[in-house]
Amino acid sequence: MARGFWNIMGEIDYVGQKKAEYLYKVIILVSCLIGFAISCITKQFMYTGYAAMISTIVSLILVVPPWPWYKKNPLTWSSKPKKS
Amino acid sequence: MHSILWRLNAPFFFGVIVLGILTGINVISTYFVDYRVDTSIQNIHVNKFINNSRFHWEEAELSFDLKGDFSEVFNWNVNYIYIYVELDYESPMRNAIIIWDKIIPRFYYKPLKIEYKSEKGKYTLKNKGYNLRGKNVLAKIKLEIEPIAGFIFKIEGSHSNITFPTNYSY
Repeated sequence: MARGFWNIMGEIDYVGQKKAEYLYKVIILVSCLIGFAISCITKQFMYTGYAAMISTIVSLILVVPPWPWYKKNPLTWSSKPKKS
Repeated sequence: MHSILWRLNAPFFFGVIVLGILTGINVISTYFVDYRVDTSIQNIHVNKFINNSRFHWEEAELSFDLKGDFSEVFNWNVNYIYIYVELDYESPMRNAIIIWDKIIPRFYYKPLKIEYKSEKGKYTLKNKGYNLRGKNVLAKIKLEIEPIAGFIFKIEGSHSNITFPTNYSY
């Protein structure tokens, strides 16, 4: 893994990466579809736009910082071989 | 992989793409709608008809009765309706002059019906030359339906004739 500044800032483990991807996709898709259904019923298309904006902001807050629930499965490296 | 910049980029553009796809569905759903409106323009009256000798043109001010019913036009993709009255004549080439217009927005105009009696034209009619006397002129109502996303639709409403007076008013 590259040891740049931005990589060290937001490092999460591999299980956490999978969780983060799943989380933002579910949040944005579900809330956009709910907003689309509401705007179908009330005939005002701006509700879809509001849903997209709000869900994007919420998923950015939930995904971008390295929250502790993304760091529960740290990699276990093999120990140093003993000199014989 | 999966640095903080990646996780900033991916949700943002995922949201933008989902919004774009839903907007595309919206555009497709209203593309084949057949917009029809009931409009009528009547009693067109020439209030003032003068000869502007300084600029070598004629000026006329008109008034008319106008009715319109837009309650069936507004669906979920209509932002506002732009309605205007256009005079169409030939002198000797084809001329089209807008004398009155109005924007009917989506939320701020509750009744969605307009009715004007002896409404004055907003703009004076200016005709280069002196050939409008005694001429038969067609006044048309035209509408442009401006959508939230997608294509602008142009419709023609009803029309009626006026004959201009043979003499100037003063």
